[in-house]
Amino acid sequence: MSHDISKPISHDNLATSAPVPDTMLDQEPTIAGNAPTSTRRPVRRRMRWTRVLLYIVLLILLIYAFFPTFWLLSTSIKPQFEAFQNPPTWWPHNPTLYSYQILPADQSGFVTYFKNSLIVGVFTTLLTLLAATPAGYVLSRFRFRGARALLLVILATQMFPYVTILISLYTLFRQLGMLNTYPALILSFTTFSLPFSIWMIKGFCDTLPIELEDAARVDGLSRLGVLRVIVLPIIIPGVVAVGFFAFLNSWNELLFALTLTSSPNMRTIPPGFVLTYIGEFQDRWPDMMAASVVVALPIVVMFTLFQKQLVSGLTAGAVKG
Amino acid sequence: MALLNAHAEQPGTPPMRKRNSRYGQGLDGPLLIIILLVPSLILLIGVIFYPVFNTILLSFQSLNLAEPFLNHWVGLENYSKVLTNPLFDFWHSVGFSALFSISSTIIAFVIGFAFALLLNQRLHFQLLWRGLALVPWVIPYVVVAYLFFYMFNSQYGIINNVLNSINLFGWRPFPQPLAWFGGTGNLAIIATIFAAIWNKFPFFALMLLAGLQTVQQDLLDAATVDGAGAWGRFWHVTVPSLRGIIVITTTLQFIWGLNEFAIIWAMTNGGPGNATNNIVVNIYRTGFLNESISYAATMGVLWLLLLLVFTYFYIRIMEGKAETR
Repeated sequence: MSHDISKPISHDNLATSAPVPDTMLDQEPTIAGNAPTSTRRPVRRRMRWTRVLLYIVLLILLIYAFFPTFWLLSTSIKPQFEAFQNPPTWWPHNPTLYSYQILPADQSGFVTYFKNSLIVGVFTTLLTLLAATPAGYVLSRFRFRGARALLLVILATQMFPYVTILISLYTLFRQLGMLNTYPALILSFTTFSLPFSIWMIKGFCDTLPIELEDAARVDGLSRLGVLRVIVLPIIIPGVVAVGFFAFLNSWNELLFALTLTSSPNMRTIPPGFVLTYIGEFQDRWPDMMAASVVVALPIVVMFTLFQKQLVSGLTAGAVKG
Repeated sequence: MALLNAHAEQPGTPPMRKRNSRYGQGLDGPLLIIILLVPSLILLIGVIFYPVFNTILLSFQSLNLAEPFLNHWVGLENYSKVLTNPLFDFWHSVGFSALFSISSTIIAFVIGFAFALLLNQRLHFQLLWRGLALVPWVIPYVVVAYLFFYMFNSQYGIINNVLNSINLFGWRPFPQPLAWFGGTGNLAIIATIFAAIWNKFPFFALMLLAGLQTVQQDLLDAATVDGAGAWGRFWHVTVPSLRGIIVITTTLQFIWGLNEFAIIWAMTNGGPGNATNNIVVNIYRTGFLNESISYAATMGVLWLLLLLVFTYFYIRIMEGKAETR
């Protein structure tokens, strides 16, 4: 093969020098076929360099993205003294699982926090889905007076500052003697998951072809039957995604949980961490990191399991609509 | 797809009911609508609209949890105090909220976009990269905050250690360890924003990557044939087709960033001094640490009004998008 690169012709300047009529857009091979094969080489070489550059940029981004995660894991298996060493050790010199082994003993209340977070998260998710699924379906399929206004109001509530709502929820739950109870946490957590969920589920229903439901109704299904037999199975990925977000929000929530609970027995993970590790064990970094890993694990596992549904769920509303 | 009621139909008048006797019967019409909407409506009213209404009432009273029996109506007094008395730190905290949210959203957007573009290429171990890149997003906020708090520690933190070891031909920009959470607070501001960016960028990467996969290859090919380079294709084909998703994701993250609490509170408690006192931390401190519920309510109402103005424009954009389809 010839190594003649004296006349490098890239696709780009080829196209500029000879504008291609619109009708030929799909016939690019003919144009390329006119040029000698050897001229394609520099293009390919440039591609290779772009690729190298690409991997370098990717590497820098990956260091930024993953170094903190690595540091979290690395610190969690360091013994207490090593976490304070200066300069820090990049890889633990004396790795130990001690910080993980003491977690089940519940000395710092970790098991309690975990259990509370799980209970509150699961019930918040269920309540949100039970309310949002029928509402999202109705807002997608029925036209009635006030539907548009209702949708816009729900959209607007997504923008409400939750702290404004919290002030009243706190005084309200205080009057009702509901501070430090699961129902107070669950109800208040639906504040932020419900509007978002209704909108997302409406988005999924909008993408379904109406003909399917018409056909089912011709075959004798009632409205509710259509919802149960036809619509629900199709929008399950969306419902899973919505449920994940409701759970994630509840799992992460600090402000409401910190305010509505004061008893250590009722704290969820975020306020438990703030009040326990910052106060009593400020200096026990490996213990805190080990607890953090265990806290992050359920979410990471759930995310990995549902990744496909989550991405398609998220984008059904946002990308197309 | 239209924003509102793409396939909506009039209840009770399905086109084929008369023609087919087996057409589905049962619950339909207004009654069905009401039954399906009631759970959501009760929750929305109970946990959102009534509390907001009650907060507005509280902002005209003088409720302090330390002395609840002295509560009385005070008219607009709270508003004039909060807006004019610098002790409440209202305008500063609004300003810090804006600074925190704008800077973290923009930088996280750029990094997330870069990630989306990279992950959209053909790479080895593609699924692994994609999965790993999203990890920071699913790590709980409190964990993010502590992790960065530890990494920014002035004595044994890894960040000071790395900065300290930078040595460019004898020039060492950071010979002394930096006190990240002390001093004037400028460094604490950077530290909190840095943590927030790390937490936010995977969201952008995920959404933009999904968007990139819908960009039509024939448009890109056509642009190539028309003489567009990589940059031209990106700027004139990719970005316009992602416009909708860019508007939505940045707006959402901007609003969420304005209301950030967990990362700031766990890292700095709003300090040093008031340096990282954003509006939510400010309201929390005022209402629940100092127990001045009515002052907190006043700030909350003012903050709600500011956000509603912003929301108005957001909805205008969303509706505009719907009409163009």
